[in-house]
Amino acid sequence: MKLVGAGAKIGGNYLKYYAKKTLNADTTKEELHTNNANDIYQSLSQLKGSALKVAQMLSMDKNLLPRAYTDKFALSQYSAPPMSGPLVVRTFQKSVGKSPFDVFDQFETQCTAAASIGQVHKAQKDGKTLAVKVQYPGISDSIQSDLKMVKPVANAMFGLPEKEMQKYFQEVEEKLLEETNYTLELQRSQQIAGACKDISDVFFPQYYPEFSSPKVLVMDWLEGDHLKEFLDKKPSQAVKNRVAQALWDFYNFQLHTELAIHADPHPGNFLLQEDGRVGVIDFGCVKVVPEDFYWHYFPLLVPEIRNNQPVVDQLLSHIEIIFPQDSQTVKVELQTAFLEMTALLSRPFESEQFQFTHEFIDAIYAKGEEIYQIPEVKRPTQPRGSKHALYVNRTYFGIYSMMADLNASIETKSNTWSGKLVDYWKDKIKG
Amino acid sequence: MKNQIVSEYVKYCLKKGHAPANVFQLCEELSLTETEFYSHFGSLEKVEEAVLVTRWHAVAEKFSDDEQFAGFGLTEKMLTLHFAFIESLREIRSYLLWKYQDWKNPMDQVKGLMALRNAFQQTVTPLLDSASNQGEIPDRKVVSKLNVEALGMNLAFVMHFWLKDDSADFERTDACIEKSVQLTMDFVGRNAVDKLFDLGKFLIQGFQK
Repeated sequence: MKLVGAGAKIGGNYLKYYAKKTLNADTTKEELHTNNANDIYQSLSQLKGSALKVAQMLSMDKNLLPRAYTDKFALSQYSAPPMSGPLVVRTFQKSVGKSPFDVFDQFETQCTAAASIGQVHKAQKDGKTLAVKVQYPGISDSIQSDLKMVKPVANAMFGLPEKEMQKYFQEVEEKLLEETNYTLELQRSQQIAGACKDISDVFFPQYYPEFSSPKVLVMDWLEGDHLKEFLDKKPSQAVKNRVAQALWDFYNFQLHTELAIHADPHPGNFLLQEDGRVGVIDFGCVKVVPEDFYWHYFPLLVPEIRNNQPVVDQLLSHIEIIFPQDSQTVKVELQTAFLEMTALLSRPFESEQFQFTHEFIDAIYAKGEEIYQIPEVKRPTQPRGSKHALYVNRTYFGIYSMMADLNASIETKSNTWSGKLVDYWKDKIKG
Repeated sequence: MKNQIVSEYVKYCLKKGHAPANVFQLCEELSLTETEFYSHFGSLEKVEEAVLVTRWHAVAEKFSDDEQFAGFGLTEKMLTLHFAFIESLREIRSYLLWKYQDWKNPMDQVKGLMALRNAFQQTVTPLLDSASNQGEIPDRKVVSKLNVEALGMNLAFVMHFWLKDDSADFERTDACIEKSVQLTMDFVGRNAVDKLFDLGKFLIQGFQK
């Protein structure tokens, strides 16, 4: 979807701007251009934990860094040493009120996987295998102190005063802290899993509120492969398409029907089955899309709305891409760039079937580069783009990338939402 | 009765803001004769020591015949003891805060905690010995005697951290225990220094030939 547009633009440009400023004021644009990816990587590598995550989010670097770097980052986020057995038991006991050995028939103190802010242990109860996610103690404190650290860095990165960046910080901060509340995650998991139960080929674990707490989350253990392992097994294209279709339907349903999306399309959160079905876990990061934002952002995906200048004016101003005080030149340049990006990103919706390829992703990258050449983008006079777009963009870019990795061909026209968006703006379009 | 005397002592200190000046004052609160008091404690100082020591003993005893505990590695045992002891101190946190409010750094405690140190060593030394016999940690002869001291200092450090900790549910203390005990155990266990000595020995033997 178009969504990547704003993020890609804001992110890439500012990052480069930052890289230039930090490295060497005399560095020419051309040099910067070539060294860009590497420099960004170097700067970001110095940040750790949540600080890194914030910088990543705000810069949307995943969208713009070459693929080679993306993997390194994915790893660098999860560097906390595993919790010892006694600490896991203690954390469980303090939080749930009972020892895990009393609650489960069997509990493995050795963790099987690291989650972003905790780790996962296998347990058995009544013949069922369960996944017990236990949070690292003190994680919310450390997120808060990390965030204080990242602010000055991010300010330099975006070239804008902290006050103007505040709304973006706030958005990411809120999401990160939400992730530390497993009670909230449990509610959302159950809610989204319930709403999406009829989507074919997508399934969810059952959750166990009676053993869960703010720091412990218990669910069914799901088997399945992460994307990379799944692809290593060389599944048929038909199976890959089935996976892709399931993800596609799942995300569109969440966004356009539920107005809330699983905003962490990390490959570890999807457990792919040999037959092409998809198990979805980890609803720690859910972006609730405000209605108001929904009705002003997504209509741009519909060509007939996109071609109507008065509506476009209203939309772009509402989502904070164009401001009344902008000069005519700036307005025209930004609008053209934004709509071109949107048109590119909405291509999947404009045919019955769409074939995702790496070339398509590369074209999006290239468009981002091109947009960066616009002076107002390169040296912004004010922050642009709604804060709500951050997680929506990130999510869809993640989905697009997975689709490309699957080399998927999917049915994309089966959407029911473009009609409702057109209806919403009908009077305006006619006028 | 012993435990009653100890808990009354704690209560007395907290209520009056100072320790009882003599045995008589404490006994009056307990409706206890001085004669009986002396059958349990020789002096008020011994009662004061017992506040921490009895808690340590209770923790050590709890795990002494615990099968699961016996199956742990040394690091897990140490972590478990630390977690359990700090947990048991919660019910007298006010007392400890009052008592040790002047602690500026972890080392200040060493003096005030000699009795606890001895109790700790009594429990931990056999654990270290058996780990050493089973080859879980290296036997460094004389140097190995420092292990128990290092672990004792670790406990004092953690107590100091906990008294200053104001995070909800003392989560930061849990993290502190996890990190500090593992670090200390990295020194106690087989590490680079042993390999260095090993290499040195090997080279010297080579020269001798």
